[in-house]
Amino acid sequence: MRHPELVREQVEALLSIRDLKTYFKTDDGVIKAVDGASFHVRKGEILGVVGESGSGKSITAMSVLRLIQSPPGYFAGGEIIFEGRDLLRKTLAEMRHIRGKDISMVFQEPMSSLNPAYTVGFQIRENIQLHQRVSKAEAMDRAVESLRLVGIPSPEKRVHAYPFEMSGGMRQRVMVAMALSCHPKLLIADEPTTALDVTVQAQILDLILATREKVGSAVMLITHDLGVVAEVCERVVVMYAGKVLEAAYVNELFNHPAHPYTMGLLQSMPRLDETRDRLPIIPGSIPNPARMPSGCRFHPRCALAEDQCAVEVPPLVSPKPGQWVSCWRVAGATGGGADAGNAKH
Amino acid sequence: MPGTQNTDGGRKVLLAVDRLVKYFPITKGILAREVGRVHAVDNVSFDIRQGETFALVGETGCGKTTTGRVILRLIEPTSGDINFDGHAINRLGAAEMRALRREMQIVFQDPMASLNPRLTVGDLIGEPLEVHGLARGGARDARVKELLTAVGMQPKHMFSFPRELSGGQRQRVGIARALSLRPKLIVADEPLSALDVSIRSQIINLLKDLQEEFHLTYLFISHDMSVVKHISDRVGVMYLGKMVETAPKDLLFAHPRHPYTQALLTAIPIPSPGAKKDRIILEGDVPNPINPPSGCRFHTRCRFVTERCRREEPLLTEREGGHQVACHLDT
Repeated sequence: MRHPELVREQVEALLSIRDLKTYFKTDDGVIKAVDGASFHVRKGEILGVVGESGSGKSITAMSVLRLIQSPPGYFAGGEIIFEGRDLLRKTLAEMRHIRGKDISMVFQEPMSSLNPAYTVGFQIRENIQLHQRVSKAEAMDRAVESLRLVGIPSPEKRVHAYPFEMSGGMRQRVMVAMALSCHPKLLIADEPTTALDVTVQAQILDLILATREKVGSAVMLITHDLGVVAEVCERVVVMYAGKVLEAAYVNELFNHPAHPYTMGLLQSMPRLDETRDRLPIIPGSIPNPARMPSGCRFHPRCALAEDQCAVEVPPLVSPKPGQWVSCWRVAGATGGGADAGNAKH
Repeated sequence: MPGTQNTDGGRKVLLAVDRLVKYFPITKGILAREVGRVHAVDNVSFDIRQGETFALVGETGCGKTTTGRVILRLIEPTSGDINFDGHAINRLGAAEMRALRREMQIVFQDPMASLNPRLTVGDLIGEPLEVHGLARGGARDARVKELLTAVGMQPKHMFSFPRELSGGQRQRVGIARALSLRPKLIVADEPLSALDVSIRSQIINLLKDLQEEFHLTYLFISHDMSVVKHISDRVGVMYLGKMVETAPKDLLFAHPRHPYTQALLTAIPIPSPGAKKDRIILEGDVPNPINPPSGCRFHTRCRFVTERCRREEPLLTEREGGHQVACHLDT
């Protein structure tokens, strides 16, 4: 049962993920890495997807690009609609035309996603020539241009450099250059700054913002860092144990978090702009993906859990325009306007 | 002179690091001819007082981890003095050093990589007790249970293997193991970086509780300024092998004086949308430590660079309130 507002928003979206189920068959049983996740990315927006390990945020991204290895992985249900067509129904040949051209991706570790045996210029040129009918020389010129776009000094020399000749920050710039070289409609960045130092992280985040404006791509930024989300994103989706718990505009999420997990995360972080003697904590640990809790997956760690939470999965409902929450405290409240800000624990 | 002041607050200096240098030779050919040196730690001095948490911060390659390891003599220093509780550590023989190690322990970044996967939690925590001949058999097990309780786990966990535990629990085991010998000093090298956000606050609170309960002194090595602000009493900022600034925590975060510290602090994303700040974006990358820049090592990326900075190395000098800065500018 889907909410009419959600249906409308999803129809207008560039990418809409509906009830996605990405499972893995293992000796321990079926791992439901993504289990009924729904959210969408609008044209040109920056959407943050936050979650801890095992939340399914990276598997969702890999599912969009159909990079899930099968076996052991498989799609047990759902749709991924990109520009009106379901990516899960595309053939692998069709997917190859989409990857790198319409949707491209920047990974966490630039050293392991660049080929060490080829120059960076060759690798960017390869992507351009794969998707567009241009001469080798023209593709090389475009590669130089894209390196210039991402702020690499003397790009006409650096195209001939190998990845090992560059620093971590430079390599990640190359990845961004490569990802944007075909002007994709959607850029998926999976923890693009996690392996980098904070001063370099600031450079790369600025770069993603600036180049997005020039190229006009939408960005799906996957991260565990709420600080990065607050500074860069317009909307944010919070994932936990394979499900979406909350989605909202960034201001709303940080100022009036509705889900107890989001509240807990925001309260428990040590912050530069606050001094506290003791941090509130979220008790317990992240559930084992082979033995997910029943009902709401956050209920064993939730201070506000009630009997119903352990039995039934709460539906994703919209208490306010643009805000989506999967929590019985919100779903159970009449009128749907539950004020989560009052629920301090 | 840096490294010798010990008057502040009347608390005794537990660890004094004086002009510590560690170069790693780069060798070439079958004769291992030395062709260069990585200047990992270059003339670093600081003190840690009993019961305080001194945070050593900086980015990749700044020398903070090397400093921590040299202090424990897991790596031998090239030169300099390390004085721990009245012992000149760098002059001790192997047997004396082993005895002293009981009092200085380390907690590593990645508990999965630092705990032997074939040992049970009981053996992991009990091993140091047996190595140092402090307890065995039933006495050992009793102590292991006590330690597990101290770090917020249950005695039954002593029969578990590391793979059966969550990341947070593994780090608790790493901490229990470090505590088992009742050390005075714990070097915690990025103990939170491998943990999930919702687990970090649990471990931060645990470290604070244990410090109080067991009167521990921490050398807390981290790149995460938000955590450092929460946990430390004093902070030392390193850049490319040099200490560029040390100060009591409140002073450092309120009035960072070194241009590098200022940039480092503004680079950290604040989890509060719309919180406008003037971010100082550093240009370029950290230079190569094999061939560090002349004069001030930060001069290649500094907004305020002058001719003097390129020529002359600034020394760490005392400013008001126990603040020390190595910068030619009168910031």
